[in-house]
Amino acid sequence: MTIDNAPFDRVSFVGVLSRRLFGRGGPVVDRLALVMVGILLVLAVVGPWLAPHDPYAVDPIASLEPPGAAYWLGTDDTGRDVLSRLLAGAPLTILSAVAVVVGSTIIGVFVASVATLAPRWLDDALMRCTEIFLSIPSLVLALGLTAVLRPSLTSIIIAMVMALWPATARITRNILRETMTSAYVEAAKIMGVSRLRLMLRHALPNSLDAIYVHASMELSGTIVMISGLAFLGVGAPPPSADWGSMIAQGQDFITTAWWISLFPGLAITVAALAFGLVGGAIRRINDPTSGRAQ
Amino acid sequence: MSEVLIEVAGLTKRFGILSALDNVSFELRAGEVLGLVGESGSGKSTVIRCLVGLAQQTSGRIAYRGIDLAAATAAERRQYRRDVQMIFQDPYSSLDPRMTVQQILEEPMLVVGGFSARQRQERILHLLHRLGLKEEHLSRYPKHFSGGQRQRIAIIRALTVEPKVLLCDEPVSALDVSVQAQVLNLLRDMQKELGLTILFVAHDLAVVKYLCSRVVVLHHGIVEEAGTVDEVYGAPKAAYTRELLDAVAEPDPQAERARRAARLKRLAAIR
Ligand SMILES: Nc1ncnc2c1ncn2[C@@H]1O[C@H](COP(=O)(O)OP(=O)(O)OP(=O)(O)O)[C@@H](O)[C@H]1O
Ligand SMILES: [Mg+2]
Repeated sequence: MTIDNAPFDRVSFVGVLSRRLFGRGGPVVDRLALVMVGILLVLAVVGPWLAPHDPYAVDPIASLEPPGAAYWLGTDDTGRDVLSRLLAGAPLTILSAVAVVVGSTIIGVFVASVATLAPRWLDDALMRCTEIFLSIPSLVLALGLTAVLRPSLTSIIIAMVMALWPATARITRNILRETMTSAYVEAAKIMGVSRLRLMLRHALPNSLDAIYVHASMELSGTIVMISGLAFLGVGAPPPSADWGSMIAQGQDFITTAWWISLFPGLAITVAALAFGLVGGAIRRINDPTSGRAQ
Repeated sequence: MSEVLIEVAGLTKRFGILSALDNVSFELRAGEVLGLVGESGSGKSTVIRCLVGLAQQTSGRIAYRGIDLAAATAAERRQYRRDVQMIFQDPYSSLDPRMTVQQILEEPMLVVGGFSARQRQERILHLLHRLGLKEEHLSRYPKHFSGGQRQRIAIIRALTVEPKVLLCDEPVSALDVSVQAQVLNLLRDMQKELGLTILFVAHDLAVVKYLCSRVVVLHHGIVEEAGTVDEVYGAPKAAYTRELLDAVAEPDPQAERARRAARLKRLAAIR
Protein backbone atom coordinates (compact mmCIF):
# COMPACT_ATOMS: atom_id res chain seq x y z
CA MET A 1 0.00 0.00 0.00
CA THR A 2 2.00 2.94 -1.15
CA ILE A 3 0.62 5.29 -3.70
CA ASP A 4 -2.81 5.71 -5.11
CA ASN A 5 -2.83 7.73 -8.28
CA ALA A 6 -5.92 9.70 -7.45
CA PRO A 7 -6.34 12.60 -9.88
CA PHE A 8 -6.67 15.02 -6.98
CA ASP A 9 -3.61 14.19 -5.02
CA ARG A 10 -4.08 16.85 -2.42
CA VAL A 11 -5.26 16.76 1.13
CA SER A 12 -7.39 19.79 0.60
CA PHE A 13 -10.96 20.87 0.73
CA VAL A 14 -11.11 21.49 -3.02
CA GLY A 15 -9.42 18.18 -3.75
CA VAL A 16 -11.77 16.28 -1.51
CA LEU A 17 -14.83 18.00 -2.94
CA SER A 18 -13.77 17.49 -6.52
CA ARG A 19 -13.09 13.84 -5.83
CA ARG A 20 -16.52 13.51 -4.33
CA LEU A 21 -18.03 15.25 -7.35
CA PHE A 22 -16.14 13.59 -10.18
CA GLY A 23 -14.81 10.47 -8.55
CA ARG A 24 -16.69 7.21 -8.55
CA GLY A 25 -18.91 6.01 -5.77
CA GLY A 26 -19.90 9.20 -3.97
CA PRO A 27 -23.50 9.29 -2.76
CA VAL A 28 -25.87 10.81 -5.33
CA VAL A 29 -27.28 13.22 -2.74
CA ASP A 30 -23.86 14.72 -2.08
CA ARG A 31 -23.28 15.11 -5.77
CA LEU A 32 -26.66 16.77 -6.31
CA ALA A 33 -26.09 19.12 -3.38
CA LEU A 34 -22.66 20.09 -4.71
CA VAL A 35 -24.06 20.77 -8.16
CA MET A 36 -26.91 22.82 -6.64
CA VAL A 37 -24.50 24.87 -4.58
CA GLY A 38 -22.39 25.49 -7.67
CA ILE A 39 -25.41 26.64 -9.67
CA LEU A 40 -26.65 28.82 -6.82
CA LEU A 41 -23.28 30.52 -6.41
CA VAL A 42 -23.04 31.18 -10.16
CA LEU A 43 -26.60 32.53 -10.22
CA ALA A 44 -25.83 34.71 -7.23
CA VAL A 45 -23.20 36.44 -9.32
CA VAL A 46 -24.60 36.48 -12.86
CA GLY A 47 -28.33 36.01 -12.07
CA PRO A 48 -29.39 39.63 -12.66
CA TRP A 49 -27.98 39.52 -16.20
CA LEU A 50 -29.92 36.39 -17.06
CA ALA A 51 -33.30 37.92 -16.25
CA PRO A 52 -35.55 37.64 -19.33
CA HIS A 53 -37.57 40.73 -18.28
CA ASP A 54 -36.90 43.87 -16.30
CA PRO A 55 -37.43 42.69 -12.71
CA TYR A 56 -38.64 46.11 -11.61
CA ALA A 57 -40.81 47.13 -14.63
CA VAL A 58 -44.43 47.54 -13.56
CA ASP A 59 -46.83 46.36 -16.29
CA PRO A 60 -50.50 46.53 -15.23
CA ILE A 61 -51.65 44.73 -18.38
CA ALA A 62 -49.57 41.65 -17.53
CA SER A 63 -50.45 41.50 -13.85
CA LEU A 64 -51.06 38.15 -12.13
CA GLU A 65 -50.21 36.12 -15.24
CA PRO A 66 -49.92 32.41 -14.32
CA PRO A 67 -46.73 30.56 -15.30
CA GLY A 68 -46.63 30.12 -19.08
CA ALA A 69 -44.65 30.64 -22.25
CA ALA A 70 -44.22 34.41 -21.89
CA TYR A 71 -43.61 34.43 -18.15
CA TRP A 72 -42.18 31.06 -17.14
CA LEU A 73 -42.92 31.51 -13.46
CA GLY A 74 -45.81 33.97 -13.85
CA THR A 75 -46.06 37.64 -12.82
CA ASP A 76 -46.98 39.40 -9.61
CA ASP A 77 -49.82 41.84 -8.92
CA THR A 78 -47.97 44.72 -10.57
CA GLY A 79 -47.04 42.65 -13.61
CA ARG A 80 -43.38 42.08 -12.70
CA ASP A 81 -41.87 38.81 -13.95
CA VAL A 82 -41.35 36.39 -11.01
CA LEU A 83 -38.44 34.55 -12.67
CA SER A 84 -36.62 37.81 -13.39
CA ARG A 85 -37.18 38.94 -9.81
CA LEU A 86 -35.90 35.61 -8.47
CA LEU A 87 -32.75 35.97 -10.55
CA ALA A 88 -32.32 39.60 -9.57
CA GLY A 89 -32.85 38.67 -5.95
CA ALA A 90 -30.32 35.83 -5.92
CA PRO A 91 -27.34 38.05 -5.04
CA LEU A 92 -29.35 39.86 -2.36
CA THR A 93 -30.18 36.61 -0.60
CA ILE A 94 -27.23 34.34 -1.33
CA LEU A 95 -24.35 36.80 -1.49
CA SER A 96 -25.46 38.53 1.69
CA ALA A 97 -25.70 35.14 3.39
CA VAL A 98 -22.21 34.32 2.13
CA ALA A 99 -20.97 37.70 3.38
CA VAL A 100 -22.52 37.04 6.78
CA VAL A 101 -20.93 33.59 7.09
CA VAL A 102 -17.53 34.73 5.81
CA GLY A 103 -17.62 37.62 8.27
CA SER A 104 -18.73 35.57 11.27
CA THR A 105 -16.29 32.76 10.42
CA ILE A 106 -13.33 35.15 10.17
CA ILE A 107 -14.20 36.78 13.49
CA GLY A 108 -15.10 33.47 15.13
CA VAL A 109 -11.94 31.67 13.99
CA PHE A 110 -9.80 34.63 15.00
CA VAL A 111 -11.31 34.80 18.50
CA ALA A 112 -11.05 31.01 18.83
CA SER A 113 -7.38 31.04 17.81
CA VAL A 114 -6.61 33.78 20.30
CA ALA A 115 -8.51 31.92 23.03
CA THR A 116 -6.67 28.69 22.26
CA LEU A 117 -3.26 30.35 22.41
CA ALA A 118 -4.06 32.74 25.24
CA PRO A 119 -3.46 32.14 28.93
CA ARG A 120 -6.29 30.53 30.83
CA TRP A 121 -7.85 33.75 32.17
CA LEU A 122 -8.12 35.38 28.73
CA ASP A 123 -9.55 32.19 27.27
CA ASP A 124 -12.15 32.12 30.04
CA ALA A 125 -12.97 35.81 29.56
CA LEU A 126 -13.44 35.37 25.81
CA MET A 127 -15.65 32.34 26.27
CA ARG A 128 -17.81 34.10 28.91
CA CYS A 129 -18.16 36.89 26.37
CA THR A 130 -19.45 34.51 23.70
CA GLU A 131 -21.84 32.99 26.23
CA ILE A 132 -23.43 36.38 26.85
CA PHE A 133 -24.02 36.77 23.13
CA LEU A 134 -25.26 33.21 22.83
CA SER A 135 -27.83 33.65 25.59
CA ILE A 136 -29.71 36.09 23.32
CA PRO A 137 -31.49 34.33 20.44
CA SER A 138 -29.71 35.36 17.25
CA LEU A 139 -32.90 36.45 15.47
CA VAL A 140 -33.77 38.79 18.33
CA LEU A 141 -30.21 40.08 18.45
CA ALA A 142 -30.21 40.68 14.70
CA LEU A 143 -33.60 42.45 14.83
CA GLY A 144 -32.46 44.64 17.71
CA LEU A 145 -29.16 45.54 16.09
CA THR A 146 -30.81 46.39 12.77
CA ALA A 147 -33.23 48.65 14.62
CA VAL A 148 -30.31 50.47 16.22
CA LEU A 149 -28.33 50.72 12.97
CA ARG A 150 -30.07 52.37 10.02
CA PRO A 151 -32.22 49.65 8.39
CA SER A 152 -30.45 48.58 5.20
CA LEU A 153 -28.97 45.44 3.74
CA THR A 154 -25.54 46.37 5.10
CA SER A 155 -26.81 46.76 8.64
CA ILE A 156 -28.63 43.40 8.37
CA ILE A 157 -25.34 41.81 7.37
CA ILE A 158 -23.48 43.50 10.22
CA ALA A 159 -26.20 42.55 12.69
CA MET A 160 -26.17 38.94 11.60
CA VAL A 161 -22.40 38.72 11.75
CA MET A 162 -22.61 40.02 15.30
CA ALA A 163 -25.30 37.46 16.06
CA LEU A 164 -23.45 34.50 14.59
CA TRP A 165 -19.75 34.84 15.37
CA PRO A 166 -20.00 33.73 19.03
CA ALA A 167 -21.30 30.29 18.09
CA THR A 168 -18.56 29.92 15.47
CA ALA A 169 -15.96 31.03 17.99
CA ARG A 170 -17.04 28.47 20.56
CA ILE A 171 -17.24 25.59 18.14
CA THR A 172 -13.94 26.50 16.52
CA ARG A 173 -12.24 26.78 19.89
CA ASN A 174 -13.37 23.27 20.78
CA ILE A 175 -12.18 21.98 17.40
CA LEU A 176 -8.80 23.68 17.87
CA ARG A 177 -8.47 22.39 21.42
CA GLU A 178 -9.03 18.89 20.14
CA THR A 179 -6.54 19.27 17.29
CA MET A 180 -3.98 20.69 19.70
CA THR A 181 -3.92 17.44 21.66
CA SER A 182 -3.10 15.29 18.62
CA ALA A 183 0.26 13.55 18.51
CA TYR A 184 1.55 15.54 15.53
CA VAL A 185 0.92 18.81 17.34
CA GLU A 186 2.66 17.41 20.43
CA ALA A 187 5.53 16.28 18.22
CA ALA A 188 5.86 19.80 16.88
CA LYS A 189 5.57 21.23 20.38
CA ILE A 190 8.49 19.26 21.74
CA MET A 191 10.60 20.24 18.74
CA GLY A 192 10.19 23.76 20.05
CA VAL A 193 7.80 25.04 17.38
CA SER A 194 6.42 28.41 18.49
CA ARG A 195 2.82 28.61 19.61
CA LEU A 196 1.94 30.87 16.69
CA ARG A 197 3.41 28.46 14.16
CA LEU A 198 1.73 25.58 15.98
CA MET A 199 -1.57 27.32 15.39
CA LEU A 200 -1.01 28.52 11.82
CA ARG A 201 0.90 25.55 10.47
CA HIS A 202 -0.64 22.60 12.31
CA ALA A 203 -3.81 23.26 14.29
CA LEU A 204 -5.69 25.54 11.89
CA PRO A 205 -5.04 23.62 8.65
CA ASN A 206 -6.12 20.42 10.35
CA SER A 207 -9.25 22.04 11.72
CA LEU A 208 -10.32 23.60 8.43
CA ASP A 209 -12.62 20.81 7.34
CA ALA A 210 -14.57 20.96 10.57
CA ILE A 211 -14.74 24.74 10.20
CA TYR A 212 -16.03 24.36 6.62
CA VAL A 213 -18.71 21.98 7.82
CA HIS A 214 -19.87 24.49 10.38
CA ALA A 215 -19.75 27.36 7.86
CA SER A 216 -21.82 25.55 5.28
CA MET A 217 -24.41 24.56 7.87
CA GLU A 218 -24.46 28.16 9.02
CA LEU A 219 -24.89 29.36 5.44
CA SER A 220 -28.03 27.28 5.27
CA GLY A 221 -29.44 28.82 8.44
CA THR A 222 -28.41 32.32 7.39
CA ILE A 223 -30.29 32.10 4.09
CA VAL A 224 -33.44 31.21 5.99
CA MET A 225 -32.84 33.93 8.56
CA ILE A 226 -32.10 36.68 6.04
CA SER A 227 -35.22 35.72 4.12
CA GLY A 228 -37.17 35.66 7.37
CA LEU A 229 -35.98 39.13 8.29
CA ALA A 230 -36.85 40.40 4.80
CA PHE A 231 -40.26 38.76 5.09
CA LEU A 232 -40.78 40.75 8.29
CA GLY A 233 -39.83 43.89 6.40
CA VAL A 234 -36.32 44.18 7.78
CA GLY A 235 -33.95 44.15 4.85
CA ALA A 236 -33.28 45.70 1.51
CA PRO A 237 -35.77 48.54 0.86
CA PRO A 238 -38.93 47.80 -1.20
CA PRO A 239 -38.58 47.52 -4.91
CA SER A 240 -35.69 45.15 -4.38
CA ALA A 241 -36.46 41.54 -5.08
CA ASP A 242 -34.91 39.53 -2.30
CA TRP A 243 -36.65 36.22 -1.81
CA GLY A 244 -38.06 36.88 1.65
CA SER A 245 -39.88 40.06 0.67
CA MET A 246 -41.13 38.37 -2.52
CA ILE A 247 -42.97 35.84 -0.35
CA ALA A 248 -44.38 38.68 1.73
CA GLN A 249 -45.59 40.53 -1.39
CA GLY A 250 -47.36 37.43 -2.63
CA GLN A 251 -49.12 36.74 0.68
CA ASP A 252 -52.35 38.52 -0.26
CA PHE A 253 -52.66 36.47 -3.43
CA ILE A 254 -51.69 33.10 -2.03
CA THR A 255 -55.05 31.49 -2.94
CA THR A 256 -55.41 33.06 -6.39
CA ALA A 257 -51.83 33.60 -7.59
CA TRP A 258 -49.83 31.00 -5.64
CA TRP A 259 -46.80 31.34 -7.92
CA ILE A 260 -45.80 34.73 -6.53
CA SER A 261 -44.90 33.25 -3.12
CA LEU A 262 -44.28 29.64 -4.04
CA PHE A 263 -41.22 30.07 -6.27
CA PRO A 264 -39.22 32.29 -3.92
CA GLY A 265 -40.20 29.90 -1.15
CA LEU A 266 -38.87 26.98 -3.18
CA ALA A 267 -35.70 28.90 -3.98
CA ILE A 268 -35.05 29.51 -0.28
CA THR A 269 -35.75 25.87 0.55
CA VAL A 270 -33.49 24.52 -2.18
CA ALA A 271 -30.68 26.91 -1.26
CA ALA A 272 -30.88 26.14 2.46
CA LEU A 273 -31.07 22.41 1.79
CA ALA A 274 -28.17 22.39 -0.67
CA PHE A 275 -25.78 24.26 1.62
CA GLY A 276 -26.81 22.10 4.56
CA LEU A 277 -26.25 18.90 2.58
CA VAL A 278 -22.83 20.04 1.43
CA GLY A 279 -21.89 20.48 5.07
CA GLY A 280 -23.00 16.92 5.70
CA ALA A 281 -21.05 15.73 2.67
CA ILE A 282 -17.83 17.31 3.92
CA ARG A 283 -18.40 15.76 7.31
CA ARG A 284 -18.94 12.32 5.81
CA ILE A 285 -15.84 12.61 3.64
CA ASN A 286 -13.76 13.35 6.71
CA ASP A 287 -15.34 10.78 8.95
CA PRO A 288 -12.96 7.82 8.98
CA THR A 289 -15.86 5.49 9.77
CA SER A 290 -17.64 6.40 6.54
CA GLY A 291 -15.65 3.73 4.76
CA ARG A 292 -14.38 5.93 1.98
CA ALA A 293 -11.44 7.29 3.91
CA GLN A 294 -8.07 5.95 2.88
CA MET B 1 31.74 4.50 32.82
CA SER B 2 30.51 6.98 30.28
CA GLU B 3 29.03 10.36 31.03
CA VAL B 4 25.53 10.61 32.51
CA LEU B 5 23.47 12.45 29.89
CA ILE B 6 20.08 12.52 31.55
CA GLU B 7 19.59 12.09 35.24
CA VAL B 8 16.11 11.51 36.59
CA ALA B 9 15.92 11.83 40.35
CA GLY B 10 12.89 11.32 42.56
CA LEU B 11 10.48 11.94 39.70
CA THR B 12 6.93 11.98 41.01
CA LYS B 13 3.80 12.72 39.01
CA ARG B 14 0.27 12.72 40.36
CA PHE B 15 -2.93 13.03 38.38
CA GLY B 16 -5.34 14.04 41.12
CA ILE B 17 -5.11 11.22 43.64
CA LEU B 18 -3.58 8.80 41.17
CA SER B 19 0.16 8.54 41.57
CA ALA B 20 1.42 7.78 38.05
CA LEU B 21 5.10 8.08 39.04
CA ASP B 22 6.43 7.71 42.54
CA ASN B 23 10.02 8.67 43.24
CA VAL B 24 11.42 7.32 39.97
CA SER B 25 15.17 7.65 39.58
CA PHE B 26 17.51 6.44 36.85
CA GLU B 27 20.38 7.58 34.74
CA LEU B 28 20.78 7.57 30.99
CA ARG B 29 24.44 7.22 30.06
CA ALA B 30 26.02 8.40 26.83
CA GLY B 31 25.90 5.77 24.11
CA GLU B 32 23.75 3.23 25.90
CA VAL B 33 20.34 1.85 25.05
CA LEU B 34 18.32 1.81 28.21
CA GLY B 35 15.09 -0.16 28.31
CA LEU B 36 12.12 1.01 30.33
CA VAL B 37 9.64 -1.81 30.76
CA GLY B 38 6.42 -2.36 32.62
CA GLU B 39 2.85 -3.35 31.99
CA SER B 40 0.25 -0.95 30.59
CA GLY B 41 -0.38 1.94 32.96
CA SER B 42 2.88 1.55 34.82
CA GLY B 43 3.90 5.11 33.93
CA LYS B 44 6.36 4.59 31.08
CA SER B 45 4.84 7.21 28.81
CA THR B 46 4.54 9.61 31.71
CA VAL B 47 8.30 9.41 32.26
CA ILE B 48 8.87 10.33 28.62
CA ARG B 49 6.27 13.08 28.67
CA CYS B 50 7.98 14.63 31.68
CA LEU B 51 11.34 14.36 29.93
CA VAL B 52 10.14 16.24 26.85
CA GLY B 53 8.08 18.78 28.74
CA LEU B 54 4.64 17.62 27.62
CA ALA B 55 3.86 16.95 31.28
CA GLN B 56 5.09 18.79 34.34
CA GLN B 57 6.28 16.59 37.17
CA THR B 58 4.75 17.08 40.61
CA SER B 59 8.20 16.86 42.13
CA GLY B 60 11.62 15.52 41.31
CA ARG B 61 14.48 16.62 39.17
CA ILE B 62 15.49 16.11 35.57
CA ALA B 63 19.04 17.09 34.73
CA TYR B 64 20.75 17.13 31.36
CA ARG B 65 24.55 16.90 31.52
CA GLY B 66 24.42 17.98 35.13
CA ILE B 67 22.18 20.97 34.54
CA ASP B 68 18.81 20.88 36.27
CA LEU B 69 16.25 21.68 33.55
CA ALA B 70 14.12 23.64 35.99
CA ALA B 71 17.03 26.00 36.56
CA ALA B 72 18.39 25.95 33.01
CA THR B 73 18.84 29.09 30.95
CA ALA B 74 16.82 29.55 27.77
CA ALA B 75 19.85 28.66 25.68
CA GLU B 76 20.48 25.48 27.68
CA ARG B 77 16.86 24.48 27.28
CA ARG B 78 17.06 25.09 23.53
CA GLN B 79 20.11 22.88 23.39
CA TYR B 80 18.26 20.18 25.33
CA ARG B 81 15.27 20.35 22.98
CA ARG B 82 17.62 19.95 20.05
CA ASP B 83 19.71 17.16 21.61
CA VAL B 84 16.76 15.12 22.85
CA GLN B 85 14.27 13.97 20.23
CA MET B 86 11.30 11.67 20.58
CA ILE B 87 9.74 8.87 18.53
CA PHE B 88 6.05 8.35 19.16
CA GLN B 89 4.28 5.05 19.44
CA ASP B 90 1.76 5.58 16.69
CA PRO B 91 3.22 6.73 13.38
CA TYR B 92 -0.31 7.19 12.05
CA SER B 93 -0.96 10.13 14.32
CA SER B 94 2.47 11.62 14.90
CA LEU B 95 2.90 13.00 11.37
CA ASP B 96 0.83 16.02 10.37
CA PRO B 97 -1.56 14.72 7.66
CA ARG B 98 -1.59 18.09 5.91
CA MET B 99 2.13 18.33 5.41
CA THR B 100 4.21 16.71 2.73
CA VAL B 101 7.10 14.53 3.85
CA GLN B 102 9.43 17.33 2.74
CA GLN B 103 7.68 19.82 5.02
CA ILE B 104 7.59 17.33 7.88
CA LEU B 105 11.29 16.59 7.64
CA GLU B 106 12.25 20.21 7.25
CA GLU B 107 10.39 21.51 10.25
CA PRO B 108 12.82 20.57 13.05
CA MET B 109 15.71 22.17 11.17
CA LEU B 110 13.68 25.32 10.55
CA VAL B 111 12.81 25.53 14.23
CA VAL B 112 16.37 24.89 15.41
CA GLY B 113 17.72 27.29 12.81
CA GLY B 114 21.18 27.62 11.37
CA PHE B 115 20.70 25.27 8.41
CA SER B 116 20.84 26.73 4.91
CA ALA B 117 18.29 25.51 2.39
CA ARG B 118 21.01 23.40 0.78
CA GLN B 119 22.14 21.87 4.04
CA ARG B 120 18.56 21.02 4.89
CA GLN B 121 18.03 19.30 1.58
CA GLU B 122 21.32 17.43 1.84
CA ARG B 123 20.55 16.13 5.31
CA ILE B 124 17.05 15.09 4.31
CA LEU B 125 18.23 13.23 1.22
CA HIS B 126 21.09 11.58 3.08
CA LEU B 127 18.83 10.26 5.84
CA LEU B 128 16.07 9.40 3.40
CA HIS B 129 18.39 7.10 1.49
CA ARG B 130 19.97 5.74 4.63
CA LEU B 131 16.58 4.69 5.96
CA GLY B 132 15.40 3.20 2.72
CA LEU B 133 13.07 5.86 1.38
CA LYS B 134 13.22 7.61 -1.96
CA GLU B 135 13.49 11.20 -3.03
CA GLU B 136 10.17 10.99 -4.84
CA HIS B 137 8.49 10.28 -1.50
CA LEU B 138 9.20 13.84 -0.41
CA SER B 139 6.24 15.36 -2.20
CA ARG B 140 3.76 12.86 -0.81
CA TYR B 141 1.55 13.03 2.21
CA PRO B 142 1.75 10.65 5.21
CA LYS B 143 -1.45 8.87 4.19
CA HIS B 144 0.39 7.41 1.20
CA PHE B 145 2.77 5.42 3.38
CA SER B 146 2.57 2.20 5.32
CA GLY B 147 3.06 2.11 9.08
CA GLY B 148 6.68 1.01 8.80
CA GLN B 149 7.47 3.71 6.26
CA ARG B 150 5.81 6.31 8.44
CA GLN B 151 7.80 5.30 11.47
CA ARG B 152 10.95 5.58 9.37
CA ILE B 153 9.87 9.09 8.36
CA ALA B 154 9.39 9.89 12.05
CA ILE B 155 12.89 8.57 12.79
CA ILE B 156 14.37 10.67 10.00
CA ARG B 157 12.53 13.71 11.35
CA ALA B 158 14.08 13.13 14.75
CA LEU B 159 17.56 12.62 13.29
CA THR B 160 17.63 15.72 11.05
CA VAL B 161 18.85 17.97 13.85
CA GLU B 162 21.64 15.59 14.92
CA PRO B 163 20.29 14.72 18.36
CA LYS B 164 22.29 12.93 21.02
CA VAL B 165 19.36 11.21 22.69
CA LEU B 166 16.30 9.47 21.25
CA LEU B 167 13.34 8.83 23.50
CA CYS B 168 11.31 6.03 21.93
CA ASP B 169 7.86 5.33 23.34
CA GLU B 170 6.99 1.82 22.14
CA PRO B 171 8.08 2.75 18.61
CA VAL B 172 7.08 -0.55 17.02
CA SER B 173 4.09 -1.73 19.03
CA ALA B 174 1.63 -0.08 16.62
CA LEU B 175 3.26 -1.73 13.60
CA ASP B 176 2.62 -5.01 11.86
CA VAL B 177 4.72 -7.77 13.36
CA SER B 178 6.31 -8.26 9.95
CA VAL B 179 7.85 -4.77 9.92
CA GLN B 180 8.65 -4.49 13.62
CA ALA B 181 12.02 -6.18 13.27
CA GLN B 182 12.94 -4.03 10.30
CA VAL B 183 12.29 -0.79 12.20
CA LEU B 184 14.06 -2.12 15.30
CA ASN B 185 17.10 -3.04 13.24
CA LEU B 186 17.17 0.42 11.71
CA LEU B 187 17.01 1.99 15.15
CA ARG B 188 19.86 -0.22 16.34
CA ASP B 189 21.95 0.53 13.24
CA MET B 190 21.40 4.26 13.56
CA GLN B 191 22.28 4.07 17.23
CA LYS B 192 25.60 2.39 16.40
CA GLU B 193 26.40 4.63 13.44
CA LEU B 194 25.59 7.91 15.14
CA GLY B 195 26.54 6.94 18.67
CA LEU B 196 23.04 7.75 19.85
CA THR B 197 21.80 7.30 23.36
CA ILE B 198 18.37 5.73 23.47
CA LEU B 199 15.71 5.41 26.10
CA PHE B 200 13.56 2.60 24.79
CA VAL B 201 10.12 2.14 26.29
CA ALA B 202 8.44 -1.19 25.71
CA HIS B 203 6.19 -3.71 27.31
CA ASP B 204 7.67 -6.42 25.11
CA LEU B 205 10.57 -7.87 27.07
CA ALA B 206 11.94 -9.80 24.12
CA VAL B 207 12.39 -6.56 22.18
CA VAL B 208 14.16 -4.95 25.11
CA LYS B 209 16.49 -7.90 25.47
CA TYR B 210 17.40 -7.66 21.81
CA LEU B 211 18.08 -3.95 21.83
CA CYS B 212 19.09 -2.77 25.26
CA SER B 213 22.13 -3.03 27.47
CA ARG B 214 20.44 -1.98 30.69
CA VAL B 215 16.85 -2.06 31.79
CA VAL B 216 14.62 -0.32 34.33
CA VAL B 217 11.48 -2.14 35.44
CA LEU B 218 8.56 0.08 36.32
CA HIS B 219 5.46 -1.09 38.18
CA HIS B 220 2.62 1.18 39.27
CA GLY B 221 4.95 4.16 38.95
CA ILE B 222 7.65 2.63 41.11
CA VAL B 223 11.05 1.39 39.95
CA GLU B 224 11.01 -2.28 40.92
CA GLU B 225 14.43 -3.15 39.64
CA ALA B 226 17.22 -1.78 37.48
CA GLY B 227 20.36 -3.34 36.11
CA THR B 228 22.02 -4.79 33.06
CA VAL B 229 19.87 -6.93 30.79
CA ASP B 230 21.84 -10.03 31.80
CA GLU B 231 21.33 -9.38 35.51
CA VAL B 232 17.65 -8.59 35.29
CA TYR B 233 16.76 -11.32 32.82
CA GLY B 234 19.11 -13.90 34.28
CA ALA B 235 18.41 -13.41 37.98
CA PRO B 236 15.45 -11.12 38.53
CA LYS B 237 15.41 -9.76 42.07
CA ALA B 238 11.90 -8.38 42.20
CA ALA B 239 8.89 -10.69 42.22
CA TYR B 240 7.20 -8.42 39.70
CA THR B 241 10.05 -8.81 37.22
CA ARG B 242 9.80 -12.58 37.50
CA GLU B 243 6.10 -12.33 36.75
CA LEU B 244 6.78 -10.19 33.72
CA LEU B 245 9.41 -12.62 32.48
CA ASP B 246 7.19 -15.64 33.05
CA ALA B 247 4.39 -14.00 31.11
CA VAL B 248 6.55 -13.86 27.99
CA ALA B 249 8.46 -17.09 28.59
CA GLU B 250 9.22 -18.69 25.28
CA PRO B 251 6.70 -21.45 24.64
CA ASP B 252 7.97 -24.95 25.20
CA PRO B 253 7.80 -26.54 21.73
CA GLN B 254 6.95 -29.98 23.07
CA ALA B 255 4.12 -28.74 25.27
CA GLU B 256 2.90 -26.67 22.37
CA ARG B 257 2.79 -29.73 20.07
CA ALA B 258 0.88 -31.73 22.69
CA ARG B 259 -1.62 -28.90 23.12
CA ARG B 260 -2.24 -28.72 19.37
CA ALA B 261 -2.69 -32.46 19.07
CA ALA B 262 -5.26 -32.41 21.88
CA ARG B 263 -7.13 -29.59 20.19
CA LEU B 264 -7.21 -31.42 16.86
CA LYS B 265 -8.55 -34.52 18.58
CA ARG B 266 -11.32 -32.43 20.20
CA LEU B 267 -12.22 -30.91 16.85
CA ALA B 268 -12.32 -34.34 15.23
CA ALA B 269 -14.60 -35.61 18.00
CA ILE B 270 -17.05 -32.77 17.35
CA ARG B 271 -17.28 -33.68 13.68
N1 LIG C 1 -3.29 13.12 31.42
C1 LIG C 1 -3.60 12.18 32.33
N2 LIG C 1 -4.58 12.40 33.22
C2 LIG C 1 -4.89 11.47 34.15
N3 LIG C 1 -4.28 10.30 34.29
C3 LIG C 1 -3.29 10.01 33.42
C4 LIG C 1 -2.90 10.94 32.39
N4 LIG C 1 -1.89 10.39 31.69
C5 LIG C 1 -1.66 9.17 32.23
N5 LIG C 1 -2.50 8.95 33.27
C6 LIG C 1 -2.50 7.74 34.12
O1 LIG C 1 -1.20 7.53 34.59
C7 LIG C 1 -0.89 6.14 34.61
C8 LIG C 1 0.35 5.88 33.80
O2 LIG C 1 0.07 6.12 32.44
P1 LIG C 1 1.13 5.94 31.28
O3 LIG C 1 0.48 6.38 30.02
O4 LIG C 1 2.39 6.61 31.66
O5 LIG C 1 1.33 4.36 31.28
P2 LIG C 1 2.17 3.48 30.26
O6 LIG C 1 3.11 2.70 31.08
O7 LIG C 1 2.74 4.33 29.18
O8 LIG C 1 1.07 2.51 29.69
P3 LIG C 1 0.90 1.94 28.20
O9 LIG C 1 1.78 0.73 28.10
O10 LIG C 1 -0.55 1.56 28.14
O11 LIG C 1 1.25 3.01 27.24
C9 LIG C 1 -2.11 5.43 34.07
O12 LIG C 1 -2.84 4.93 35.16
C10 LIG C 1 -2.87 6.51 33.35
O13 LIG C 1 -4.25 6.24 33.43
MG1 LIG D 1 2.44 4.48 27.06
